Amino acid sequence: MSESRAFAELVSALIRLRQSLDDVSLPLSAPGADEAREARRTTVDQLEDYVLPRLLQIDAPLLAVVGGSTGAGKSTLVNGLVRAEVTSTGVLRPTTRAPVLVHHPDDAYWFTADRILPDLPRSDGDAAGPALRLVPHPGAPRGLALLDAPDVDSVDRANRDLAGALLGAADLWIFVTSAARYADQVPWQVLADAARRSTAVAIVLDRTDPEDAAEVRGHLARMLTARGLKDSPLFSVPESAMVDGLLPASTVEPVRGWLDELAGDTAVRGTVVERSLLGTLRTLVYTAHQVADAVSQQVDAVQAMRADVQTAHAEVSGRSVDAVRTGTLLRGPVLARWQELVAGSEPDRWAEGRRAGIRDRLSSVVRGRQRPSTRLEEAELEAVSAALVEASAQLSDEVASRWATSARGLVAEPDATSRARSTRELRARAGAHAAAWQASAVALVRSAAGADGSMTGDADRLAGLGAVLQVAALGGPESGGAGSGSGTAVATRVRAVEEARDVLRRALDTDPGPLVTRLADELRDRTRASLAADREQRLATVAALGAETHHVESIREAARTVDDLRPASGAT
Amino acid sequence: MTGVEGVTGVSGDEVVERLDGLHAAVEAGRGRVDDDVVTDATKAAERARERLRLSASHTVVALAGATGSGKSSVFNALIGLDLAAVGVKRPTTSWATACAWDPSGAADLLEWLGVPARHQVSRMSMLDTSAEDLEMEGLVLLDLPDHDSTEVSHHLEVDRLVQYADLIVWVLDPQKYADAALHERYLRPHATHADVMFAVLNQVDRVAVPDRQAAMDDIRRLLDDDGLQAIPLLATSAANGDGMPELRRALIDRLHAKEAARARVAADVETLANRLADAGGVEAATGADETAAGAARETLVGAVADATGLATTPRQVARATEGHARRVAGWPPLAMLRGGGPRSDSAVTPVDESRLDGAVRDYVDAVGAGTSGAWAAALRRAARDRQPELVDRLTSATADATRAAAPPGWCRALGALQLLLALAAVAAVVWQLVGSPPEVGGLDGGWAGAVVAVVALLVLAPVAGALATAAARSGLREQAGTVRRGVASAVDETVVAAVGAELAAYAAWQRGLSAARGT
Repeated sequence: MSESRAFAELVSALIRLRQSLDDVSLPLSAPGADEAREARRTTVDQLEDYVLPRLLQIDAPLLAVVGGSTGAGKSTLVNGLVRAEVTSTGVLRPTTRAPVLVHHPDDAYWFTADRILPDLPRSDGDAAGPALRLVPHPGAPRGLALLDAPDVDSVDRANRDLAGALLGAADLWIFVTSAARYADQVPWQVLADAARRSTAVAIVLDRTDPEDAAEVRGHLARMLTARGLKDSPLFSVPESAMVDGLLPASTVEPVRGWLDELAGDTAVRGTVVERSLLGTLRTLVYTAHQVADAVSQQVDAVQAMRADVQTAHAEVSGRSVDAVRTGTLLRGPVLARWQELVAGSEPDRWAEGRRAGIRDRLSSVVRGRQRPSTRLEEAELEAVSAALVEASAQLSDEVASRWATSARGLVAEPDATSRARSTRELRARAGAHAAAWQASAVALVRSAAGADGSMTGDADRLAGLGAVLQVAALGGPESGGAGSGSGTAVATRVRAVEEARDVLRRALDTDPGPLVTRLADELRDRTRASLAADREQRLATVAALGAETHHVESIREAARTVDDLRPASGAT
Repeated sequence: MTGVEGVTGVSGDEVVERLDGLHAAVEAGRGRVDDDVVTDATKAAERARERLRLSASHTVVALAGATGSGKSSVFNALIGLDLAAVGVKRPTTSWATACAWDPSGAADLLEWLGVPARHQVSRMSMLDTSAEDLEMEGLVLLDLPDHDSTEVSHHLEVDRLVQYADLIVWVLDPQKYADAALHERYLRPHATHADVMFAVLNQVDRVAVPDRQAAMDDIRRLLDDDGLQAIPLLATSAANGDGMPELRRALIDRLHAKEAARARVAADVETLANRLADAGGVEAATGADETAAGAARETLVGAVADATGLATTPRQVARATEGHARRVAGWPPLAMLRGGGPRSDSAVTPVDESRLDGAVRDYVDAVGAGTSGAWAAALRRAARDRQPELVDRLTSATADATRAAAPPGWCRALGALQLLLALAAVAAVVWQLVGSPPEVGGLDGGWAGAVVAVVALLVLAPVAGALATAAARSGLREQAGTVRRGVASAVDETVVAAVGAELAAYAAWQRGLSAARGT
């Protein structure tokens, strides 16, 4: 494989990696998720801000980022190095809000367009905000730009993030610390990052009393060695009075000399660039795999949530379908109404097609012409719709309690208003199912009776027989009803089913079994459909989280490719 | 103690009241509100109570700050001895050092603080007791390790002691006052503690005189952003003594007010109460007031009665009861003919559990209106747990209701009397035919007796029937009432009681938190 081809492939693999990291989501608040989100963000930033631009423009000037703690004197150092007041200093913290990039006027080509740090807007004036201020100054060395970054430990979070991004884009770090600061935790965490990436680091011990300098320097050098940075040059800049608002030239001379040397020698410069770049690629691949691990965990968690929905659905659906099969739904008010009607011999009248007696007809006129089966039909409607609502509510409870462990913190307890709304919707849907089921019962009776046509026109009788068919169907699809529960309850139910079937047999002059089975099956199917709709709704919620296996795979694939091509590109 | 009203205006009794409120809220919230928050609050409340029990005449002042901010220099300057190690190597102080003025009463306090004796020094035991020292009597000064160095053990010690100190002096320096480590980890979370904290800009000698005011203003701005508008801010220089008398004065003032410990506890209680309130909510339970809850309970009882099918049972039972009574009281042959009437064996209808479930959910939603998250869930859980018991109790109540009432004893007596009359009529006829009964009023005695018996029977039968019907009906009304009461008591003793207990706990939670917040 030719080198240029390998190079092109590396670039395309990096672009794929960036894309796949960009696509991924870490929706759950699992342990380590915050870190993974942060890692993903910084990796994407690093690819965009540093790796890709640097790979494509390997000859661009070195970008030396001057970073460190608040108040360590970064800006003062930059001004001292350039020998001009190019960036503002002060006693107020944090001082540097907009990062300032000082470059030699001859290098303007590289910085004015978005070749370096393409995502950061430029501001030519003194505009505040997170914009990069470019300062061309002849005092800056050719081939090396100095970037005065915000504090890594600033109280202002945006400042801190920007500092992190800029350090991620550096070819070279000039890490500024002070006698009071050098043991702070935050900057050392940042330095540990640099050591991992093998970025070239120079440490400047600033603002140190000359008398303490030796002791502090010794301790700092030991700390650097312990943390894998023993090869980094360590400069001290003694605390001294300003000359024309600048550090005296002599105090910054060693640092300036070192920078000039770097900038002047193309070969050394290339080595520095390459070392940082390769180190970054190495950590990038490592981080990408870590992100993929975290995503994979989330994918597992999301799968567990899906499984929870399925299990809960299977459980509730099984229970509800069982209730239809065993006929336990024939209970309470429906049964009581049925017994009441039987006691008044009303169903016999529907069976034999007898007109109601004069007394009954009179009373129904007085009551506003209510047909005798109305109250039974109402009880049936209520029973079926309540059963559907309960099944949905159980599914919802079941899923919620399972998710409470598998997706802790993600699915919030619904507030009173949204719960009331969902209850309303649930009831409306269940009511519609129940009404449709009742209509089916009447249609079944009509079609069964349609053969002799004797019943068309007698709506009361049809409705009555439909209600009887519903009683039989609620009692279960099989004749006699399997039944469960206490002995007397089963006996009552079985007798009611027998009575209902008997009424139907006499009215339709045929075995009502198939009709009952059809209506009971329809109830079972409606129960299933209603629960399936609930399940789909939950699954849609899970799907909306957007953690899928293919995300993990695409990250790993791109990371592997980058890793394979990495050493080969080292030669370019 | 209670008479002293100073900067914070919290009396001793009030602090105890607030702590008790917090305790009550924690007890009410346990098992209902997020466990982690409740456990934390329990521990912190325990610590606060402990502090109140210990010496009230001592005030624990902790010097906290970043590495190199000069905590130890300030410490040394305050105690007038070079006791705490001062150096250029960072971090310097690895453990907390304590200095107690008047150590006699402070031993328990120091033990509670967990500062070992080898890191303690007492000021009054030394020979050089001066007027200045007498003024500082009761002070326990702590020099804490740094909170921002690479030594993580130091942070842990700071985190621990910051919870114990009565007064915390944050020592800032011109380089480090804007560090995220300080503001995000310590100052912002202690926004309620502004009364028991000081901020001191040390090493002010390093800032050029014209810039000092700007620096102080900038720190003030950052502190205000942290929510610490009330925290006093002083400028000191331990190196040349600038501002040290003012700091000493400020500490002495707090010392003499002798209320720093109480103020600290009050601030802690407020923080904890706020955290608990965030976790569990303190919104008014609008559904739980007496009228609303009463109406919801009525609806529930009605809906549960409907779900059992009891609404129709009484009528059906009425027919059965009536028939039974008439049969018993009626003339035997007629009563036998009646057998084809309405069925007497009225049946048990199992409760419609779906409707019951819906009714209970509606009830919980109604009485729980206003409660949020954890508490709403607790209400639902409590109701759901008692539902099976409710179903059992309803089943037995229903069985009672559907059993036809036994007719009163006199119905049977009437029936027996009619049987006797019939037998007497037969006996009289037999006597007439077989024997020779005496004549009564010109008629054969046997015939006369038979006629009298039959007439009595004819008169008695309808009367007995009417009496039996009336008795059955009145008995039934009573029974319907009994059944309704049975349902109501089953509902009251299960779901309503359980939900009521949760609502009572919620009320205790609200009361406790409002007491803890002093509102």
